[in-house]
Amino acid sequence: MNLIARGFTLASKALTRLARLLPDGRPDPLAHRRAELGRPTDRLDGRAKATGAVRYTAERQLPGLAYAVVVGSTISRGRVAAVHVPPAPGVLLVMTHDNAPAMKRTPAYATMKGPLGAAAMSLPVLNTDEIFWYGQPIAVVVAESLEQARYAASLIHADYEPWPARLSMADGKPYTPAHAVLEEPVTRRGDVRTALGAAAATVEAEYTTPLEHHNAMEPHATVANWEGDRLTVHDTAQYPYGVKEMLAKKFSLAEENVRVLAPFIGGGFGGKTPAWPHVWLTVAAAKLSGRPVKLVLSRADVFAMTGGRAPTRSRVALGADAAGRLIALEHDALAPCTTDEFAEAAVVASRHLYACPNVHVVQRVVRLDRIQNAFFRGPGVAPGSFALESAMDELAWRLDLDPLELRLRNEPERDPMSGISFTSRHLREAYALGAEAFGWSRRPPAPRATRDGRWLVGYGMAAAINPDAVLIAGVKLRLSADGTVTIRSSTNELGAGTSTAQSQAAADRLGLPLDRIRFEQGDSNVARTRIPGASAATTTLASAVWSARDNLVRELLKLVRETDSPLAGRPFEEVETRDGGLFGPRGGESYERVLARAGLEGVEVAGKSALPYQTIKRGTYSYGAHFCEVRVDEETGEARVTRWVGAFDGGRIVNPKQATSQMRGGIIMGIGMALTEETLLDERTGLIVNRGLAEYHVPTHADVPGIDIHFVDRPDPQTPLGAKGIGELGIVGVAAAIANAVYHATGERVRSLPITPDKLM
Amino acid sequence: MPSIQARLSVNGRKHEVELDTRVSLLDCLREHLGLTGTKKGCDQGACGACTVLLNGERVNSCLVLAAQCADAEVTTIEGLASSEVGRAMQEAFVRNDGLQCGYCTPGQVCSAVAMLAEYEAGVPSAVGGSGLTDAEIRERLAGNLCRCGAYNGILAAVREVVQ
Repeated sequence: MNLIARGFTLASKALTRLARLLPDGRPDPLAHRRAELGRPTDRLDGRAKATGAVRYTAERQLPGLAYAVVVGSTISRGRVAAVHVPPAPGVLLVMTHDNAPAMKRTPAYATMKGPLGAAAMSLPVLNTDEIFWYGQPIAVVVAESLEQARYAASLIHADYEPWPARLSMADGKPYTPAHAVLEEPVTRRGDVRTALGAAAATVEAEYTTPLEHHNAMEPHATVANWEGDRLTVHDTAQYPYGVKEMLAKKFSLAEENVRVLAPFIGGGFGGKTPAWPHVWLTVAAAKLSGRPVKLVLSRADVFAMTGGRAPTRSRVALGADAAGRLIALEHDALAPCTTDEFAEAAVVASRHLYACPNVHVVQRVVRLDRIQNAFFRGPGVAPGSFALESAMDELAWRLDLDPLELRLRNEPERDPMSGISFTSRHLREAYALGAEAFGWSRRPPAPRATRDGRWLVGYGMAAAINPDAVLIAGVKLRLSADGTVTIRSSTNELGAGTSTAQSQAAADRLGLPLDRIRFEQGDSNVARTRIPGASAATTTLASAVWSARDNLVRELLKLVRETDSPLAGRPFEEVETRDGGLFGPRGGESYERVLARAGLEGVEVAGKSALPYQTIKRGTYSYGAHFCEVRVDEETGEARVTRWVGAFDGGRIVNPKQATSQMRGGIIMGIGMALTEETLLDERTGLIVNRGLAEYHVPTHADVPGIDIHFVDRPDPQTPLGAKGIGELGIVGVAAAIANAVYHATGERVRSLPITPDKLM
Repeated sequence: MPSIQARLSVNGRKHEVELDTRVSLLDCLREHLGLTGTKKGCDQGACGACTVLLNGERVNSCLVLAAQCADAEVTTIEGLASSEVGRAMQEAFVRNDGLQCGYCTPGQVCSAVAMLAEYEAGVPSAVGGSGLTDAEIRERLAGNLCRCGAYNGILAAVREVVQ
């Protein structure tokens, strides 16, 4: 372990000890008192989406708008000697490293170094002739029309001075990063090797997962408009506030002069959490051309110019005693990074899922000349859990034990790594719910025992875990004289159903019917808001709205002071918000009445999310259990998923309809990860060869069975709404459940994803 | 670059626009006619987000040139609501949560409406066999990708409209 990693680990251990002195989370009355919460309400923006009325980023039209297309490098490492730009009609600007304005370097978001601006990488793209990855932008063409820009871009070519490039994980020297997305990179307890020697059953194997791309249906897009030194940017940003912060720094602007708008995003999955270089290059091109500029990445450019999920290689060793209790757990995970040290924590599940006295868990990285990898739904934990949960299945077979029973015997009482307690952990209940719904007890015990014509049929299961986070958000809440409430936030709606969930939560928080609440999102200027992902929007925003509600009550109590209101002079603590107004022990009145008496059109207050002491002091995780049936064609090796049951502990569920869709979405993405998805990067050149949706295979309608979702639905006693994040949970464990079912069907263990027919023939 | 006077009829309304000959029907709708309900996901016919009805049949509008659409009737998601089945499909998508981010949704809705008409007209599929089964619907909608994974809800929505 290097010094920085050792320093991080020591600091985090010290913090864990200190954290015990922190107060607990504030129990939220809405965890139990609910009217709109818990209802399977239709999405409030559903109609606008289904009728095509929602405007996404690329659909912003501005007067004088020009169109940009990016040209990417065709080498992985070296320098650009010359860029040749043949004349073409309609061209307004060709921006290369020769004429691009200076853009300050800002730290890469995922490294968590310095202020958390949204930059995906710190490299000085187009401010240097140096090339760092294949597909790096070397020119931006701006033209009057999209067709003209595209044609002009097709004519541009460059001379290069190529340098040797490190493209394969086998090329570099693995090292320990400072931290693996805030998880300790190395944990060692007891003596794993001795324990493995004494174990009744052991598994030691290597598991690999490939490079994958998010492929949200909406390609990344940026529309930049300068008015003097004021900049307005429409961007497909999951993290609008971070993009604002980054652009202000890059272009030396006052933050108040930069506004980033991103109300609706056509899917993100982490791929739009950081801002990739095209975002600031569009802003630069608009500055240089003097025109508002729109850039939409082509699907091929999405593969080349935005990062994907890092490939991983995991060596896992497990040992159990004869009673099926783990006595040794080793997980040595390797993933690539770039000069920016973003280490995917593939070891998360191994650190927090099972009790085990002897543990050695290591996350290492190797620097490559590729584009920075990105957060991708369940970063680290999704590929890492494929390794751990496959190995657990292998161990169960060695022990001749039901894999579900093996997991039950190793449920921890406290967090296995830190020894701190959990705020809530209902994984046992999830196992029971899922097993019952699936009919797990009827699973034939032997592999390769069930056949249906040419199909071999198998059952598999796996556990899911994902860290829960409450991050930073602010909201503005306006109560109007007609008793309606508008809440504004800097987050956005990317398909998770945030606006609907927050409207439900705000309705119950204020004691109003749902149709009195309006939730507006996606304006970076509302408040400092750091929710780039992490399944944290629901609880973080709920916390901010809670604080806004408290501030509203205080404001309204000021208004009724020395009036005939039954609330006059009541202390804040005595007042409840319910039934359309404020109520104290001597009665209450409606919001409208309070404002009418004061002669006000409205009252606006701000709210900020509370510091999440509970997630620092204790371990807060969401959990789940997957059960599936997979059929494998004995002749062709084609594997198809035919039945799925998922059961989850995500605390109290805010909207069961949306939550069910969210879990299904994760599982379907996991089906792709297990069976079809792989970005094929030619390790000799760095070129991604399958850079399109016809060659990169995401699951289609025909690949997806009916997916049955269950929730434990018990409140976490310390989180806002009693809820825990579920956006990423669904994908975790899916690939292992499928690999385990494939083994049960065929007797073949596949340890490298995706499980394509060639691996089963 | 050569340009043409393109005559298009979209959702029953006639348009006459001067266009670069290279403009696709998709870009014509989105960039020239302000009909942004039709989405661009891949621009190469692989995702189905740009599905519209051309003389009642579903097409990927990214693979059709605007210049090819003279005298044709184009129906987009904005025009679909004027038909009973179109409106019913949109409402069923919302009720059954057959959408999440909403970006593939207009294409899914257009595709589902045209798919039902194809089935009624006896257009064959790879599944075939007995009636409009779940497998049949899934196969016939397999050209419309949804990365959020709303497939179960979309199937339920189509089922509801069929009944």
